[in-house]
Amino acid sequence: MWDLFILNPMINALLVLYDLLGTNFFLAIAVFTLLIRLITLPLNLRQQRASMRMQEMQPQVQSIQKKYKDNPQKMQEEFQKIGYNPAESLLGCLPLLIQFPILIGLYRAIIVVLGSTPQALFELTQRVYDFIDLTALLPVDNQFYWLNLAQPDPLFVLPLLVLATTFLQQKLLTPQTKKNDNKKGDQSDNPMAGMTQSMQYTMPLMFGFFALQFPAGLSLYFILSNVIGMGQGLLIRNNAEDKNEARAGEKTSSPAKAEVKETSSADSNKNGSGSEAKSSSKSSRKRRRRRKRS
Amino acid sequence: MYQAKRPLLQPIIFVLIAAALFIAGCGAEIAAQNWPGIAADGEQVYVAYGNGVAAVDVAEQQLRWTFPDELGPGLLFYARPSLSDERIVLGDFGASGGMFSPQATITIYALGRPESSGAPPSVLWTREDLATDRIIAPALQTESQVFVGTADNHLYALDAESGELQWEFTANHSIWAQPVYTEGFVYVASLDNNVYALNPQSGELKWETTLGGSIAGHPVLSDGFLYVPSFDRQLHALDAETGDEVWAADATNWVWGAPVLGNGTVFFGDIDGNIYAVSAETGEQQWTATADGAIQSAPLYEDGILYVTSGQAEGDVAERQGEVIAFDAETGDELWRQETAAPVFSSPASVGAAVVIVFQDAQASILNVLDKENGALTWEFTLPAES
Repeated sequence: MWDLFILNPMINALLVLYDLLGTNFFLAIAVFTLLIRLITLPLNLRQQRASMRMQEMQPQVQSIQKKYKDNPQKMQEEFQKIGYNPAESLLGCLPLLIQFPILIGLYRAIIVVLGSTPQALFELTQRVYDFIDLTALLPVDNQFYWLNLAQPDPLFVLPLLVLATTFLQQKLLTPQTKKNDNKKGDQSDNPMAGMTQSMQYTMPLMFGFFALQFPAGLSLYFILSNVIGMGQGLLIRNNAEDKNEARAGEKTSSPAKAEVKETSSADSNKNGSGSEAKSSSKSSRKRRRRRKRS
Repeated sequence: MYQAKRPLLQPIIFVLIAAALFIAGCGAEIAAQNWPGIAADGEQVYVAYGNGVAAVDVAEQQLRWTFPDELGPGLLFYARPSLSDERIVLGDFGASGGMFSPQATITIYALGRPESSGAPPSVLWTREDLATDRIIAPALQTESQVFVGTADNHLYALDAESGELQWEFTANHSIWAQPVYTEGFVYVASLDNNVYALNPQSGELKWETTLGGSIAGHPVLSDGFLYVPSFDRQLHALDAETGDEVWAADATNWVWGAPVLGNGTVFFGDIDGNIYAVSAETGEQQWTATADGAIQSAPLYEDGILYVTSGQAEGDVAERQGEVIAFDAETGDELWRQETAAPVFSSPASVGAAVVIVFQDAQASILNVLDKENGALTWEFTLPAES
C-alpha cells in the first residue's frame, strides 16, 4: 500500500524529472519539492488561516478563560458563542504531520533512485514504471558541488541551512505575540502561545539533527521546502493584512461598530493580544501614509 | 479542555513521536541493505555478511573467527574478502561518526592470515583516509599491490606490505566491480558505463571503452579477451590490448553478475533469470536455461558443472525465496535444483565436495552447505550477529 501509493510514485516522479531536467538530480529534487508544496498548498493555507484566526481570538479566549475558570461548561458555551474551537488549534500540527510520510517516502526514494548500494539499485528495477528507460538513465548522477546527494553533507552546511530555514519559516509563519505574552503567568493562560513558541526552537533543532544523518538530497528538499513555505507564508500574511485594513476601513465608517472595536482593542492590549493589535496599528500607519500622499 | 500547565510538554511529545516515526520509517529499510560476499580457500570460507567477516571451517563445521572480535551494529561489511597467502583484504561500508556527525569513516583493512586455524587475524594495516563512500567492490591483490575500487568513483593502488598509496584513478561514477590484473594492465569497470585499462604501476589510462549500460559485475580476462557484463542487456567481449569490441551476446535484461569461463564457453545470467552459454571465441549461443528468480552474481564452474544462484525479485519481501541450480555445462541439462529460504545474490563457493552459499533473511545471515552431487543440504549455519 505504502509502496504503491507513496514510494513508487515518488521514485518514478523523481526519475521522470531527472530525465526531463537534463539528468540533474538536484533540479529534479527542486522541482519535486515545488510539486509537493503545490499539492499540500490547500492544507497549508487552511492551517495558516486557522492559526491566524485563533491568534486573533486569543484576547477574547483568555478573558473567557479567566472569567469562567471554575465553570468549564460555561466556558465552553462562551467559546462556542465566539466561534472558538480548541481542537482547531491542533490543526496547526497537521501540515507537520503530513510532512513525515513525505519525508520518509522521499528518504527511501532518494536512496533507491540514487542506487547507492546493489540492494537499492536492484530494488529500483522492481519499482520503475514500464515507460521509463532505466538503463539509459543510469547511473543517476549523485554529485552536486561538494555533495554526494545520497550521503549526509560532510561539511555541515546543509544541516545548518536546514536548521536556519526551519527556524525562519516557523518564525515567519507563526502569528506574532507581544512580549508580555511570554510572561510566566500569561503563558500558562495561553498554552497555544507557549507551545508555538517552544515549537519554534524544537522543530528546527529536530530537523537540523535529522539532516546530520540523512542524505544531502533530503536536506535539499527540507531547505527548498522551507524557502517556498516562507514565501507562501509572507504572501498569506500580507493578504490577511490587506483584508484587515479593508475591514478596519469599514469599521471607522460606522461609529457604533468602531466603539466596540475600541473596547476589544483595549482588551486585547491589556491581555497581550497578537496580530490584530499589530495589524491594526500597521493599517493605521498605512492609512496615515496614504493621507499624507493625497 | 485544552489547558496545558506545561507548555513545553506537548511540543516535546510531538517531536518525540515525529522523530520515532521518522527513524522507524527510515531505519527499517537500512537494516537489510545488501547481500553478503563469500570467498573460499581450502576448507574454509570467508564471509562478509554485514555485522562482520567470519571464517568458517566447512569440513569441521566450525566458526573459526570473526572480524572485528566484537561484532556489533557499528560496522557493515559486504564486499567479498580478497585472499592471498599472506593477507585478507577487506573494505567496509563505513562507520557512522555518531549521532552528531554526518561523516562516516570508510576503512580498508589488511589482515594477516592466522597461523593456527582458530586464532583471530591480526591487523597488518588499515587506511581510513582514502574512501569517502562505501566499498562494495572486492579488493584485488597481486604480489606487491592491492587495488581497491570504491563507490566514491576511485580506484586506489596501495602497497601490499604497508598500505601506502601509490596512485589513484577517478572514474565518472561508482566502482562496484572487482578489478582484474594481468601483467602490464589493471582493468576496472564502473557504473559510468566504461571499462578502463590502466598501467598498474602508474595508474596511467591505456584505453577506455564505453558500453551501453552500467557495469556492476567484474570483467573476466581469458586468452586476450575481456568479457564484460553490462546493464545494456549484453555480454561484451573486448580485445584486452585495445579495448575494441570483438563480439556481444544478447540477454533479455541486465547482465549484472560477472560471467564465468569453462571449456571454451562463457556462462552468464541476467536479472530475468536466464542463463546463457556462449562460445568464448565467437559469442555464438550454445544453450540457455532459466532460474526462478534474478541472477546477479557470477556462476561457479567446476568439472563440467555449472552452479547458479538466484533470488526472487517479486512479491512480499519476507516471502521471497532463492535457489541453487546445477547444470551440465556441456548441454545445459539441469542436474538438481535446491530451494533456499531467502534470495541468493552471492556467488556460490566450492569447498571440497560441497557448494557453499550465503544469504540473508529478515533475521540473520545464513550459510548453507550443499552436496555437489545432489544439492542436499548437509549443514546450515547462522552467522553470529553479536559477539
